[in-house]
Amino acid sequence: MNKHVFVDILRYHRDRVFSYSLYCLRDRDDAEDVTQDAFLRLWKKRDEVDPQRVEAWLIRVAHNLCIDRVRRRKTARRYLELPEVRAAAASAETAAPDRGLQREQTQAMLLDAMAALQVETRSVVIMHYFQGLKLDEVAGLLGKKTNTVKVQLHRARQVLRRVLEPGRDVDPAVKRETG
Amino acid sequence: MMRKTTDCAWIESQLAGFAAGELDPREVAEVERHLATCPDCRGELAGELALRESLTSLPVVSCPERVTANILAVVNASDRRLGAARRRVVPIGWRRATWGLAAAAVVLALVFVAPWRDRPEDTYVAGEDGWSEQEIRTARGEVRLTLALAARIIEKTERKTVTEVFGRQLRGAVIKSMKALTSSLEGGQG
Repeated sequence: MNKHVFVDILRYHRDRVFSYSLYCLRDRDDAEDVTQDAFLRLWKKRDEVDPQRVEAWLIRVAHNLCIDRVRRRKTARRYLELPEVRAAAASAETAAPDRGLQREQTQAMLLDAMAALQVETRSVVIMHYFQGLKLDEVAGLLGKKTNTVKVQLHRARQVLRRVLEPGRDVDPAVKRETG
Repeated sequence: MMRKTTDCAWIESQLAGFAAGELDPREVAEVERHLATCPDCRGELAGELALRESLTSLPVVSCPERVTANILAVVNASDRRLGAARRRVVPIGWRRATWGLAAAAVVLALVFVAPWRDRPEDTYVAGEDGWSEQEIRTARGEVRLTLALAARIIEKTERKTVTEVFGRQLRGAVIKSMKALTSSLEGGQG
């Protein structure tokens, strides 16, 4: 992979990698660091990474970097408000303002609720729903069984559904996830 | 309302795959059969679909330009260093290798023709002192052959190694040897 190919890859994938890191970490500075580190690792390993599989490679590296960061900052967790996320959501929905506003509010609440998930589970949720990776692709990236990924998504849904349906009870397995 | 069964736990774990269309036909049939009779799991599916709609439409957030600029700064610096290293190392390596090869050839020649230096020139007249013209021609042929072989070996050798081995000391050694040879020849003639 020469420099020109690398720059093309950077320009094509940077927003996805940054968004993934931002939704996973909920901290803009950390997301910037993770994005930067992921691409610099790609530059270092440019002769080893298959350009056809570079997106999966980048997401896996970003995932590992996010987990490292969350583990390091566990003692001082800080989940900041993300005005730029809401602004982006609002501008994307100008064609249907009412529906857009409702969706924006739901998304903001979901993002807040996702802070309660363990970082591995949060990553699985973002990879599958936001990045659009198939379940077996997520499993392959994380070295897990597809069934494990399905169970993680099920547990995440139990937590996140409380946002969608506030009166809903949570079963004990889900309480373990959030606890 | 139907009570949750052990089937429900399995069905619920399949709903993400079911909604994404990633289950195989046998699993799809099993989930559909269960959903037809279980309102709880139908509610779970509704939750899955709502969650999917919200999360799949999360906006892609633009990566700040400063992040791209930082990455490109490192990449450009690394690329420049690499380019400069290539320009610096390779040509100089070749020049030194060429010089080393030439010098090695001279030294080998001196080594192989060393008897000339130790004896007066007239001892090499054919037919005297056991040296026939044929023997001298053979000796010269051997020297050429050995030099050619040495040149091939050196050519195949890592340029850097050649540079390190021959690059600095050999020039002085060759000049010294040539002076000694000249002096010896002049002494022999006188």
